[in-house]
Amino acid sequence: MSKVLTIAKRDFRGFLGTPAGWMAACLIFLVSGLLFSIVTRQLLVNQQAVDPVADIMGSILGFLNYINIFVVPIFTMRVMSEELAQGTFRLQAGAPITSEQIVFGKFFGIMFYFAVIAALLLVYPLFAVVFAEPDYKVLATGYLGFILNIAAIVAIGLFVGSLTDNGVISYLGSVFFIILFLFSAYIDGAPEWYKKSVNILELGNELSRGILKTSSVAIYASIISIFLFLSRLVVETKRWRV
Amino acid sequence: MIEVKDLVKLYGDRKVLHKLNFSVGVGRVCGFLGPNGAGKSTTMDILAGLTGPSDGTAVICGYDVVTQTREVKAAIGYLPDNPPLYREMRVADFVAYCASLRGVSTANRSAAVEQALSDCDIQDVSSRLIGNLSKGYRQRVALASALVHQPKVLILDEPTEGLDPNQIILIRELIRKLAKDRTVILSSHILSEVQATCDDVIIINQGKIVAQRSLTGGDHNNPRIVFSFADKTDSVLNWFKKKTFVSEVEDFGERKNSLVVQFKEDFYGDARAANMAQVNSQLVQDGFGLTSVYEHRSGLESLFFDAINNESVSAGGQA
Repeated sequence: MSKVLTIAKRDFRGFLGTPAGWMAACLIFLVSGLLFSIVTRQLLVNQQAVDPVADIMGSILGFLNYINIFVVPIFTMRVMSEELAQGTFRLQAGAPITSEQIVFGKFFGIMFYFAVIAALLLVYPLFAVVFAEPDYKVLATGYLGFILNIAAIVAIGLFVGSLTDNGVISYLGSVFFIILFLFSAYIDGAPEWYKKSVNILELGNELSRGILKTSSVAIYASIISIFLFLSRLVVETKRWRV
Repeated sequence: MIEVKDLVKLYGDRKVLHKLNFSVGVGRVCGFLGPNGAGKSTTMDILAGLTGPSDGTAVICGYDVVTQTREVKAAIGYLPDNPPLYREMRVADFVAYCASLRGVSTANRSAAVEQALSDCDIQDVSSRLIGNLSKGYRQRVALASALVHQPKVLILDEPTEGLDPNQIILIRELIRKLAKDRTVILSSHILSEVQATCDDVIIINQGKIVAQRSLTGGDHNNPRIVFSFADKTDSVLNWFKKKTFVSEVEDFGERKNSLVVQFKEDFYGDARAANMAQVNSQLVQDGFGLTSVYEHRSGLESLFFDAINNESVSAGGQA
């Protein structure tokens, strides 16, 4: 566990040590800030707000779930493909640690970063709390959806990133793979359970509206574990031929 | 300490290593010498557990690199040919990170980092960003991170590649210092480097060991001597030929007006210094215009070229 934390902490600090980490944060706050002002204005004009906090945060988190498809792969590309390309992967590959520890370390490193982002996004509900009594349950499920959605994209991105040492291919490949994954929900004739499982954006939106189902969480957990397992397989084989 | 038996590595159909066999004893510095593409880095990677051998075994500190990879990785320090460094990290943080990955406990970590930094003489840059350091410093940071967990075996892949002469000397001194209580295996394609730092040398070409010998002792103690003169050397050549203690004398091609002399076995030994002094004073007395005298350490060089050329000839014959 301590090795997982070692890698996670280094990666997290690494994001803060390079412009990429700050620019991604800027993008997320720019988008969420714009959304906040647009949505609040809309609600005020229409005078329809039932729950300003939940409604506002629901829209923001729901929209960020889309944005994250394009933001999160920047980070998975950095910790996988760039490390393979720059040879720093050898540091972990050559250390007396297991491949699970490497994959979990990288996974949690990115999750730490987005946990901080999620915490900072609390500024919007805090701002609104001054004016209204919020529905904390909707807020909590929205956050859960936001985090689970990111975790699923991280797991998929780590898998795609572990396959290539080319940053561009890794980034575009991850985005492409995630979009393909989402749109496979619309294939005619695909089994109903499959359609429900792969559309993680829809699940995230449900959660951001406060609809919490055990099945949604289970689906997320399955996607995350499947892709982390696949990443571990690739990392294990890469360790024998870096 | 390091035992390699019948090591074979295939990349697809291409055979990179053909049945390597060698061993390195405790406290020795072993040089792995060969032209580029000879299989040096592949061998180093296999020893470090970063590439699996196709056949054969390698045992380090009693652990097999295939079946006990984690134990091997804990016992060795590895410096790959392109040192892996995070440019955005500070030197001390980076070394501490490597210590933590290698299992140095939190309690001992800062002392271990301090020790590694001072071993590699980089305390003065400990708080600087690695990306801003010169190549020589980066190489030393990588070396510090390879030895921070006090490994018994150090595997260094071309440790002085791309450094300036001054930095090369510093790294060599460092390797000699570290070798006092460790086993070191280093690869290089530079002859003088191996000569300056190693106790043993293994010459590898096209994936085969073509020569293997110790650099301490043996005919290394009976070097040929180069005598340089102000003028033509014909008369001196005859002078040497008449002496009974000279076994061989010829023109030295690499330098003008110079002779290279191999003395007989009994000339060396305990009386060597006195004998040399006598020869020198006689040359001066006879008025040959002696300008310089030095030992010609061509042993390794001729060994290397002979081994490589013989190998290419036999390889050509096979094809």
